[in-house]
Amino acid sequence: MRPLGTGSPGDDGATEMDFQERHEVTESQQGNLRAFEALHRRHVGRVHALCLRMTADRELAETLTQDVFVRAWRKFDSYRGEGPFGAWLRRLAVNVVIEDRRRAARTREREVQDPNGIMADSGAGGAATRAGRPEARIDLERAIRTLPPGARQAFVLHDINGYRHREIAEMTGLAEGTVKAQLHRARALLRRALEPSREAEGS
Amino acid sequence: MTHDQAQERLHDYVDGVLGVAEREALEAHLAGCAECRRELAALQELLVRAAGLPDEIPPARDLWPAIAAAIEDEAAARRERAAAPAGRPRGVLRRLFAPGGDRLAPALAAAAVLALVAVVVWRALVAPGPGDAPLRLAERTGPGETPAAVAAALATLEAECRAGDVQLAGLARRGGASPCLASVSASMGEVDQAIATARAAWRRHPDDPVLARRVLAAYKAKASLQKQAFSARCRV
Repeated sequence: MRPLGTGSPGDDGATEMDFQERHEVTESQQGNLRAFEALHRRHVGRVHALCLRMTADRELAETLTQDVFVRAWRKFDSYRGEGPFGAWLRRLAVNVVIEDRRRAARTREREVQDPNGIMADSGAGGAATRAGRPEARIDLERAIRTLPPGARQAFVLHDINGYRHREIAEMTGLAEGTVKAQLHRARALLRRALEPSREAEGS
Repeated sequence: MTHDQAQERLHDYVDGVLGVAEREALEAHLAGCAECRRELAALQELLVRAAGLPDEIPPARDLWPAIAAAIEDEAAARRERAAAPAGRPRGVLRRLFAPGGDRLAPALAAAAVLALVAVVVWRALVAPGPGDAPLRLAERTGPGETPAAVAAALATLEAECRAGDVQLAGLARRGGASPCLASVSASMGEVDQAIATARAAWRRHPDDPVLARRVLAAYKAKASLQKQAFSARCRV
């Protein structure tokens, strides 16, 4: 399947990498752990970003990322090359996180009520650069972490990862209206969190 | 459309899920409502920032050793499971064929062995393991839009945005330096950055429909920002 690109200079590289990735997928499906390691390296950043943003918990995100790859290996046969491997993997990651959340909700019952505690934990990847654009990014990442879990999930899946309302409803088992309500709530909360004047005023 | 209805629909508006009639009604309301316009601008700004977040965050430590260990443990456990039932038949066999043991006809013994072997092989190769269910969902990853449809939508948007950029430059040259225009051009820099980020990610994974949608979404944000700049209110 040819990319939809507009003939930009990077296309050759992308095609070559594509071929390479396809090879890694085939090899992995035949049980080649080396090839799977290469695939892991290729995708771990994206899977981890998703897990981290959805859980707002660095340790849990690492555990779940591991889990995603172990499961991908176990279930490799169910990937039949219908879509890109990255999309399949990402979908698997969403399922792993959602499943974990359900399990945790059942056992823990009460969810994290301490957004400030989470906020105190430094930005993803450690020392935050306090200059220019990166700061704005980190502020947003940080604000996302303070969201209530349902709202965070909706925002991360819809506004960052580009899934649609219906797809999210299907993945989470929630009604589409609920997903939308959570998304709107997330956006309202984020705007408030990112507005410096209001932040100074109170809460 | 009432003000409250308009506020509610702004989300659907930026998400591009409003029908034509609703969208037009909302745009009519927006033309006369400064509060809704501010709300819309803030919403767009948030979405642009969200679209500009990095696609990858590498974990702080290398996760591969743990993953490889888990995979190998699992394989070992599976081998054991496969070996366990096979251990018993050997005992049975010994009894069957041992002098003075059970006097089963050799044919019957052979059939029993065959059945056992079949079960073991079936377990090892075919039987589902634990944790199958969640993947069903993953498998159902929708086909999404056809590449051609996405490419067409993108081409239209790109052309629209290019024309918009030219028009906007003209506006600036003619000295239309309203605060509104200034804030639009500030946001425009962010949108352009979001477009570049989304495009780069897409170039790396050209088959990923989610990334394609992100590029589209970034262009949509740009188009709607331009629209805002061209609105009568902004030119004053």
